[in-house]
Amino acid sequence: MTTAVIAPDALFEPQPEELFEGNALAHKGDKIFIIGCLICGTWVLGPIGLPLIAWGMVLMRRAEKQGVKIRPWAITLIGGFILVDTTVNFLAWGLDLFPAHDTSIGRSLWVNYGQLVDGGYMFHYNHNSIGGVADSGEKSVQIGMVLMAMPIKLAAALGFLRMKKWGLQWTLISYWMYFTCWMIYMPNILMHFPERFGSSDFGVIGFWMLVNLPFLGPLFLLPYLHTVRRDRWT
Amino acid sequence: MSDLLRWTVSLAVLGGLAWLWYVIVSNLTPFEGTLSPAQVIAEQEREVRFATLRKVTVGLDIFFFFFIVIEGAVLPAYLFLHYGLH
Repeated sequence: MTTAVIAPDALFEPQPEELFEGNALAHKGDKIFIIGCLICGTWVLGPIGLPLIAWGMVLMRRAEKQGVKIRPWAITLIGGFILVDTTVNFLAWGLDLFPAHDTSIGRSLWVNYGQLVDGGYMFHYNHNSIGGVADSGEKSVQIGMVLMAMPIKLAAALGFLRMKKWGLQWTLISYWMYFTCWMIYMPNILMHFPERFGSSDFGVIGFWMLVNLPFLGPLFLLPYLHTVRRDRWT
Repeated sequence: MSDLLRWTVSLAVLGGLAWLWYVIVSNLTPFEGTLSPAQVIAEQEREVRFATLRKVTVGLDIFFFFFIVIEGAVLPAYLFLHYGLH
């Protein structure tokens, strides 16, 4: 995959020969940064992904010091956050939706999560025709997120980081989609309060700490995405 | 189906979905058109006008970035150590 870590307007300026090495460094740093974000999104491999993210940022910083014009750091951080957040949701819910829910590790992960936070995952797990979580509302949101919203958001984040116009536009669209899913998800989970929160070890507090706080990302990112300079995405 | 096959199928389907949507999304710009010079100036002015809002959102973004990464590294290990296998 080609990454456009170099700011688009710099691409049209003649690049002095001494900057070739810096450009290569910036591209390498960007690739390592993106791979690190995707690995962090797997959760379990987070300790491996974090050093990769840091190393990618160090390489990009070195390239910047050599005079290479790279994209603004705020955009890199925002794009990285979107990648991590998206991969987490896509992979975790995807593993509950697809056959991995029948494996001992997959089943244990979700039933354990049910015991810790959301009891909906603890009761009747793998007992309906689709498998995975048995709550119909949860499954509906999950299907929408895994089959559509999350892969769109993932692709959009990659385009956003490559400074593509479609990347910015699809990031905005997918974040509004994400926000809508969150609005559906909240009443759905709260309407079965005794089963979902009353039965787990950490209930509402655990839910806010582990799930809902990171889900607030769209609320914070949407104002940013609507006030960026659109002319930077070509 | 063995556990390994189930994991392979699940990850392959997720990879296929991600690839399919990437192909669609990267070939479909929702709003075509370029900005006029006056619009570019307006974009620059807006960026300056909302400087505080942008600083706050980037700050929160960095907080959540590390929050999710650290949570992800700790949570699965805790779940298996505390509750075991089912």
